[in-house]
Amino acid sequence: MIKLLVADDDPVSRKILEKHTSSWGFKVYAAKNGKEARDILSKKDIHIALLDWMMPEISGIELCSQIRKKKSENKYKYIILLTSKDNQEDIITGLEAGADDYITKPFNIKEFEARLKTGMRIITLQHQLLKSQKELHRIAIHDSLTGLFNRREITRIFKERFIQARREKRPIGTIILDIDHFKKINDNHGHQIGDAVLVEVAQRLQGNLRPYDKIGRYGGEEFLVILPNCGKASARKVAERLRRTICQTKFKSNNGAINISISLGGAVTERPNHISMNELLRLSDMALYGAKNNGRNRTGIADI
Amino acid sequence: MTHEKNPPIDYSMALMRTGDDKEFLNELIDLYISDFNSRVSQLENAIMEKDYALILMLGHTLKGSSSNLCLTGLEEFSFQIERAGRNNNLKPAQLALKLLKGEFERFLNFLSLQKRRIA
Repeated sequence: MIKLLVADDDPVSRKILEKHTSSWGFKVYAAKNGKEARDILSKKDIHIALLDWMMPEISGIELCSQIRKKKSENKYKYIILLTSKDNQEDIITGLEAGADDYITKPFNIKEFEARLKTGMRIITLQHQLLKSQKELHRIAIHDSLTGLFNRREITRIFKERFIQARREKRPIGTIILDIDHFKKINDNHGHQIGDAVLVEVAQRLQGNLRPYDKIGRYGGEEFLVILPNCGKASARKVAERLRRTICQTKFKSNNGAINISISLGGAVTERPNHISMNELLRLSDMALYGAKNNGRNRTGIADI
Repeated sequence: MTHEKNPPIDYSMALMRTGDDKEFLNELIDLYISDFNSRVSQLENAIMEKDYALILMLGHTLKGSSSNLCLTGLEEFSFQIERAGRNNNLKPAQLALKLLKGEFERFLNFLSLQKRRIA
């Protein structure tokens, strides 16, 4: 339901506006001065604001400028100024302050309704745009198969957490893990089952992390886990939990149950100011390499 | 001035503005009446204090509500008050306020006459 604010110090005008706009299906909030209007605007998610030009406390035009100056506001508010002024200069002043439209009082109801419909069209378009933008962003940061963060996003998160760890002088760790003999799974069972294995591995891994740990798909069958504020012993615990969650339960497929295991390489630094991000990742990768060479289905943690 | 020749309210026009809803128009008239006295006493204070910005604002608001209800005379005197406030001119504001109060009385008489006629 579109939320509409009526701000007018004239009770008669306010009542008329409230009555008509409610009957047209808006959820209406009323304010009798600019200050009340500002309070409502800050608390309610108002879509359309009808602001009287001259109001006590804060004028409609001032409020209009304040709304437009608010940089954090990503949801557009459609503003219609109500005015008894109708000379061209005043209209220009109003539009320059950020109003989308104006209507001169006393107004013709049919004209007023038509102008509100224009506002609704803009608001609806903006909602659709924001929705698509949100969906595009979701697509841009997630891996389409597993639903985990993609390589770019997990790398961005790693950078963010690493900077935070440096600032707060807290430990940070990474785990790179890889599905053992994944090529064989694809070769023996087909790519569809290979994909299903990737999806289930991703779900099991994600379900076994702490809420503040982050995981992303780093490569084909490779995953990266970020462990903020995590010591070496905890990192090993997390890695072993992940390993067990994969190897302890067989994967069911149309070709029967499949044994899957993962190898993990972890690296933890207690002093993030003394190491680079890339170095931490390189050490994780080396530890993974060691785990693979030592027989797979195991965890290796780098000595730092 | 008689009500017949020059009624204080253009009732048919006011009715049209409220979507031909008599009950709603009566509700608006009651709202106007209950608001009027407090605005006038604020105006009297503003004139006493020579608060021109407030005189302008109150004149403007009264003008708006009078105009919504097609109270032509009340709209005109409110406009004179608004203009006096804008021009920082106390005398015309005092004079217009007196006329405004008189016109309001005339409006109330008109309403009670109408009620008596209907009864």
